[in-house]
Amino acid sequence: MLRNKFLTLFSILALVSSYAQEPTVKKTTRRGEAAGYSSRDATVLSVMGWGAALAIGIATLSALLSDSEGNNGHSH
Amino acid sequence: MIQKETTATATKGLHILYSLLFSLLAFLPYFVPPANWEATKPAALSEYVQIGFVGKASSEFRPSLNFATEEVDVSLKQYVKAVKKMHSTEPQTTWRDLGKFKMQAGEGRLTEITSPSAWGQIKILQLLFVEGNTAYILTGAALKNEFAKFQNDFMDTFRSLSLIPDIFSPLSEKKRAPFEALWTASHEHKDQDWKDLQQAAASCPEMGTYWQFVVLKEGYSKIFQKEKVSLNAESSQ
Repeated sequence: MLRNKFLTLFSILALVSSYAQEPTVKKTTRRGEAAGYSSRDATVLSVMGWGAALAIGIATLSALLSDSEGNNGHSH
Repeated sequence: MIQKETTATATKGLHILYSLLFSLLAFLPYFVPPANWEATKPAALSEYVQIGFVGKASSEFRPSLNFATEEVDVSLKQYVKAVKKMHSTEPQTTWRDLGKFKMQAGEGRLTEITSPSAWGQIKILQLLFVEGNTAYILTGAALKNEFAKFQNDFMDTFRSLSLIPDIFSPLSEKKRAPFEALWTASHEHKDQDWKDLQQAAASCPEMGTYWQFVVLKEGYSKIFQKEKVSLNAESSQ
């Protein structure tokens, strides 16, 4: 009884494992990249000149969104 | 031998099954950046960085903090191993694993990087956390000789990292109401809705800048029906 349950569970896990095999290969090629870029980007942020970073506030955050869209027609 | 392979397959299967379940639940990252630090997202930053924050300092090199995510299919242990390998190839850079780090979201790994620069030695603290198929990375940097001044800011932000079921879940019912109304509206008056959303976000300063940023980003997509908003502030260059 217990053996049957184990075999069923094992079959499901093996199926899930094989199902996910293809994307696994692709993703592992980028593993850890974000951590490396983040430490480089921390330095980039730190050396931005005074005034280059934006003042804090809702208007700033909204401007971040609008600027990225090239959308000048909306209210901020 | 067979038993070992069986255990390995079962473990991998469980990890994938857990990842699939976790992705279906779609938790969102949430953290509170240091108060009064400036929010920014210059185009020069990598695609992984969601947002950056910059503090004030007496020198040209200001303390900074950024939040990044990466899609992965590995455990935290394997991720840390990959990061260590990557930094070990960088000349004059020292990488140290500072051990386990407990935060709202669970248990992550705290690491330290030191490297030389034109402004002096730079010290970086990096928090790594993996949940489901996503690695969450918070990185704080400052000059080594000024680091002590900002260490608590970095640590408090790291500790606040959590995963929430939806962006409005930390809000009280009363505070949630205007957002829910905006989320379900037909957006016939887009400009007015955008103004209302900004006002609603501004009324929740206790949630921190990152939360406000995500709410505005999600709301902007809904109101203006943009499927994906790319967040690069060209103007900050």
